[in-house]
Amino acid sequence: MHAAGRRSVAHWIARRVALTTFTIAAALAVTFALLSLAPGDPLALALDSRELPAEALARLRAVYALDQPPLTRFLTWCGALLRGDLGWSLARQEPVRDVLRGALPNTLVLCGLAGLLAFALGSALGAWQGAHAHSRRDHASSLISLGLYAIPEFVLALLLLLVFAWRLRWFPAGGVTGDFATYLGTAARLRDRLQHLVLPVGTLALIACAVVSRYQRAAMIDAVREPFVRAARARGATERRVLVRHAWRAALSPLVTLLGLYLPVLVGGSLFVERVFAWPGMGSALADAVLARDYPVVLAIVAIGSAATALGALVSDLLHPLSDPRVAQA
Amino acid sequence: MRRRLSFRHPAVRLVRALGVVSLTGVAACGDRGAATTAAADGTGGTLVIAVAGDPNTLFPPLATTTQSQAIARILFERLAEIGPALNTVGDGGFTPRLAERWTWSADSMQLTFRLAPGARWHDGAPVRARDVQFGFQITTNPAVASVNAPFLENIDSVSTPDSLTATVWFKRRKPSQFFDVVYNLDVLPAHRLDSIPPAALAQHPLTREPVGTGRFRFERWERGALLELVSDTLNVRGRAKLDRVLWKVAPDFAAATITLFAGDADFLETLRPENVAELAKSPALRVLPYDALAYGFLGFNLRARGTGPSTSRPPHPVLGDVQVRRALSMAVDRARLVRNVFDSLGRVAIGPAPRALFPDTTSLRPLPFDVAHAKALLDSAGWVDGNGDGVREKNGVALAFEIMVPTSSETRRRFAILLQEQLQAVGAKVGVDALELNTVIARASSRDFDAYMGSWSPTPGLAGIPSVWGSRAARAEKGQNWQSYESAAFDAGVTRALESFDPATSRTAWVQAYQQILDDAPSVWLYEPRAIAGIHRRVRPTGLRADQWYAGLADWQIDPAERLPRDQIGLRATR
Amino acid sequence: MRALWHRLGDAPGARAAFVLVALLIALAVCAPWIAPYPADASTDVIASKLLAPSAAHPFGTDPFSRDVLSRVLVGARVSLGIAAVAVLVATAVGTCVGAVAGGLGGIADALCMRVVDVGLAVPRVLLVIAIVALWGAQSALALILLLGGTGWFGLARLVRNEVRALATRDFVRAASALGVPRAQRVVRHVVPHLAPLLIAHATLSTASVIALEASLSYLGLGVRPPTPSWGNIMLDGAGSVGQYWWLTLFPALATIVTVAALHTLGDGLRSAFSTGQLGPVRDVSPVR
Repeated sequence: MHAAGRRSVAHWIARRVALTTFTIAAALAVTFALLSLAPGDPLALALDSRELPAEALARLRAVYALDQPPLTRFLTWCGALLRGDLGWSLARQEPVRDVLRGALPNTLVLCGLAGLLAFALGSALGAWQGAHAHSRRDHASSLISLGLYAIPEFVLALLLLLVFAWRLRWFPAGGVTGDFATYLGTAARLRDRLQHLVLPVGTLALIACAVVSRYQRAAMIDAVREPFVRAARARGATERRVLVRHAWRAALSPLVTLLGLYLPVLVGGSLFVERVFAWPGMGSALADAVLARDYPVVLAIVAIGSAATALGALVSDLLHPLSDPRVAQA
Repeated sequence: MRRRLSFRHPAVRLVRALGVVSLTGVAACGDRGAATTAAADGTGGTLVIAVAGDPNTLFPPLATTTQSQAIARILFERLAEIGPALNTVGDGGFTPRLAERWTWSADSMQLTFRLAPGARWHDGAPVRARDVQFGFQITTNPAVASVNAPFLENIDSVSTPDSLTATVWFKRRKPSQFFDVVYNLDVLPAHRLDSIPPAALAQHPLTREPVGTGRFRFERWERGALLELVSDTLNVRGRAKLDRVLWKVAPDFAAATITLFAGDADFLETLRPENVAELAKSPALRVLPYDALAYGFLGFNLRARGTGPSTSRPPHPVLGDVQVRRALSMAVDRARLVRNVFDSLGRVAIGPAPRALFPDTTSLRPLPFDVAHAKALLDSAGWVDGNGDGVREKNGVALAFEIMVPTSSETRRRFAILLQEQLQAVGAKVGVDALELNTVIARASSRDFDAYMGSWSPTPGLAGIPSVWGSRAARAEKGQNWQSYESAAFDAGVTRALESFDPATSRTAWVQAYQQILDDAPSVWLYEPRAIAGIHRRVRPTGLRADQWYAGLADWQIDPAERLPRDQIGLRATR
Repeated sequence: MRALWHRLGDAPGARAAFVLVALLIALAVCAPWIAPYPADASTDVIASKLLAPSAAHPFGTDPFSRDVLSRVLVGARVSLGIAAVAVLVATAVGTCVGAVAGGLGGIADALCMRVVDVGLAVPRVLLVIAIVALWGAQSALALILLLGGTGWFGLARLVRNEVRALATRDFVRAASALGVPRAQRVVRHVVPHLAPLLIAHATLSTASVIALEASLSYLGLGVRPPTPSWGNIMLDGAGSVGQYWWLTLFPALATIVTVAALHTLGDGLRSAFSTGQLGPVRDVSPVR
């Protein structure tokens, strides 16, 4: 079995990689087609409401090759990408590489921390709710998480901003660091950075936590009814051990699937959060770039986004057998 | 303990972002550089400016957005600066900057600038005549594609008789030739940039860390977050009185407003009227009204919706009729609309230029607000509601059109919705198409719209008028006369006004041209916003100039008695 | 219906959610008749602008002097209507694509699933924002097509997997053995078994589409003015949330209550159906 099994695993991985590459390439082509079919011009916003002679505008477009046909521009961009050159941002007048170097770490910190918090707290909360399903505590906490689940990101972000930044003044209203952080000592700088993280991470994490806990609760309720959990209980294991070691472990499996699927959702939600909290991340960069028709930036971000999504799906497929005893045994 | 103190103390309460951190932090900054704050002479302090949007470049010939231009202007001094009256004829009112004086040849075809010998670039190199010449060459180089180039077309060349003398050679005499030079010719550091091929300048890293001549110099730029300038302490015109100015970038207008109210910012260029009342209640802030050079209007497309600026397009089925346009203009209670949107902070626009730039408003006869007259006009033009659906029609065409409005402008969105209702009252069916700004511009420049909410910010001297209202700009491929308004009489009047050396002749020509465009009613001239800045009380600004509020920024001060922790950071040892 | 009501009793709050959703639909349908003022016409543009909640205007007035209560009521009609029709479109497309892919298998399956992969690779929020920003889907129909057209990818995969799983079930095998053609097998025997899954999925999708439509309208990219939707009422108050809080609070509450009720109902439906012969219908992808 094993030689054949290994070959089939290798085959499966090769197939997955090929499919992922195809998916990313197709997503890029679709994105570029959308952008170039859309009305608008990468230079339009840069010109503000200035009264300019027609010749100046025509010359400016020629310099940025905007008078070339879209297909030529797309192929030029793809060719450069293969050489490792992401291109030049027309709206920001800097290399796309620099745009990403600024934005990517900010989004990774935001989504990473929020995701980590949400999955840790959400699965613990959901498991607890599921283990005590239909108790009064479960209903009360489920109602709260339902409320959070139902709030669009921008609404929660605005509410937190108003209460904690504006009214109570506990946390800063936006940005990644304080404006004068470079003039601070190391400890103060760290503290400043953490203070800035609270509200944006909090917004994303609260909503994601509600999503995770609802899934975890449902999975836990199912898991508790499973024969092997009942068997463990019958064997005389302590209730705590039954719930944590047996039921929760089984109930983690749907969560792992959720992890992969939730990544794009988290990234989508971070767009609104980044907007409200002036967080210069990928979401802000993408929104600005779409509005400015800055196609090199949009393409680079979509490439990264779709690669991350595909990777998420791959990881959840790989982890799935590990977390589910039923699949692992099969 | 410290935490409680920091939130209770009134002077500290507002510095929320710094909050706790600032108090410990400022102490810590002592070991990061020699602090040289001297509050005794009124210098020092930090001004934080909230803006909704990042600049895109700090290289003056390529600076096009409001933010880019502001910062480039502060970093790079002009040869001379326009006076407070914004006169553009001859050199009246202009004060010396990089040039300490200038002389005209007898026929006014050459203008010689004598540079201030002490003027230095921020890297310490002296400013030389070669830099003036280099600036001219770069700005007019087609490979650079500076939008300022067309305004330098009247200059033949710049010569450098000696290292401190630059002579500008004109092609012909023009009333605004002095203004054209000093406003559009950027003096650039040849010693740093002349080894770079002009086509590569835009993408060169040096242009993103600009070395200029202004009283503030560049410190740091964190894209999308903040940009910091600090006082150039060795500047020949004296150091900027503030230690530093920080532009704090917010993603949109609402967020920028919040940073001001939260105490994270000291200055916001324009407040919305609904925030003014709130600001008046704040003990730390005050309002600072000033003139702004902008006007807004509902612009009609005079020709049928099309795909480009061709002249073969037939007139617009509804809005091509001057009687309809005049009737629609008279149906709008502009004073009431302006009251709704701006409260007392806006004025009804008189025509395609704000009052501050308009030579003579008293002899103009604008269309009155008169609903009865508007209805009568529509009746007599054959637009009647035959089928009783509340919408007039003529030859089977309904009196209906769409107003295109950018979602980015709350002001224009509001006007569009209010107009929709007002025009309904005279039997016009109006739809509002809220589109994202780039789409609006694209549709407008391909003439694919019925009407749009427009706004222009003209420069002093009104030299841009032909670019947006002249016939040539209606027909040219990228011309900005999106409404296809063409009037030979208007064109002739504007040309005469711009080219006449005699102020009286010029004024008469302006009035004739403007009366023509008011009578033709290509637009409903709606509003002129009066800009209201929000500013922290401890800041002592100079007067805000209408075209560039930041012109006097280097002389702004912070009251030494009311300094916040962020004012006490001080300057690092320079250079 | 009675059986459904009975089954819903098992899930916490599902009955209450059912009643609430029914009530919201009733309010939305009757909105034009119960709204105290016209929703898109102002009374006096200067005197009654931005009034705080009072007896005359329980939810206050907006910058255009319009009654916010009336706008929230009529907005319910717009927000719910658009979401419901969009989900109908998404469900129809998703079911067809999924059934074709799962039923036919082979190249058709691979092709459909690659399209779904690409659709899922670009985050939907971004896709929708990009499309609306680029073309301005301002008419309700365009918005419905857009929200529906980008919402079927997950469902298509779900249906396809379900169809393939059902194909191995005895009654389908029996039909196959009896010589019933494949297409007929799928339509007659497989699709009806998907109904519970589709209903639960549609209910949950409606909730997420309402939230998405509110977000779009809040960015000024959704329903065109003066038609109210919950998102664009919030947009009217966006510049000064602290001062004119009623413009944000009431439509936000309406959105939250509706989305929460639909979620509870969707979950209730899911668990109500899961006890039936189909087995657990748990794998509804998070569409939020």
